[in-house]
Amino acid sequence: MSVLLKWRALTLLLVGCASAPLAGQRDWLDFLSPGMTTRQLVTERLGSPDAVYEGGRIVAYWIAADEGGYYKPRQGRPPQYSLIVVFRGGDVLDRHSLVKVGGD
Amino acid sequence: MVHLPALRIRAAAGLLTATLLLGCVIPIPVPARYHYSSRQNMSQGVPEFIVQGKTTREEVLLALGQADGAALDESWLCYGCAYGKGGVVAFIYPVPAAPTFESVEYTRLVVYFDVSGVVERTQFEKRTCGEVGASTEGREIKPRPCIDVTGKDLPLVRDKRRMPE
Repeated sequence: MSVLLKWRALTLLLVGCASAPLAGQRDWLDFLSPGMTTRQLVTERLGSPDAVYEGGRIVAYWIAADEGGYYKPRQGRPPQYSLIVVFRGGDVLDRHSLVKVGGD
Repeated sequence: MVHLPALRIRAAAGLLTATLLLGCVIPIPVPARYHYSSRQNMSQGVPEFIVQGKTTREEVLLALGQADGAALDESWLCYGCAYGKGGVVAFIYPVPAAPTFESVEYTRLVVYFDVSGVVERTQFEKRTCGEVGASTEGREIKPRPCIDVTGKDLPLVRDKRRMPE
């Protein structure tokens, strides 16, 4: 392998290490629409809730965030946000809020 | 007055010096910061939006997020944080051990609800405690917090109330 090729390969490796890929998506939570989003869709997109209140009428999810947007927190990493979802009539989204609970 | 032989004094001094030189204690300051898994959105007192007899559990959750602790019957929700105000870790060689001395400020808000899910009362407390922890040979000894931010010291369910006459 030529010297130039080795330097190029090394440069690519170093650039790759300098910036880890972002895990977040800016529109990850845009599917939440009061009066339209169903509980089933919430569970499909976000998984099982981290906490359930009032017999399931209110559910909570921990949410992480980076420069790319929001994502499900990795095991052992503290979340930055708490998403609260309130359902009405059993299975339709009534209201929701994203509360910042952690640091950057 | 008892006079110790000069040789014995020199031997004791030499032994002490050798012990200090062979054993090494390196103090490293611990900066002020929130504890790893602590929330950081606690206010300095009971939030103004919480009004006794009016605010609902739903409104509390929508404003403050998932609680750090809750009663089994949801008669209370608990929110808390732990903020380390600084301290020192003493790395000791050749034991090896690392005792930690830290001042920690605990803040806790407990919101109590009546049977219909409306705020009945609130309890806000803030306390600074000196804590000593240790880490040695793979084992970690964590200090017991002076305020449990998850509410493990609170009753699991609402106290029994007298039936109305």
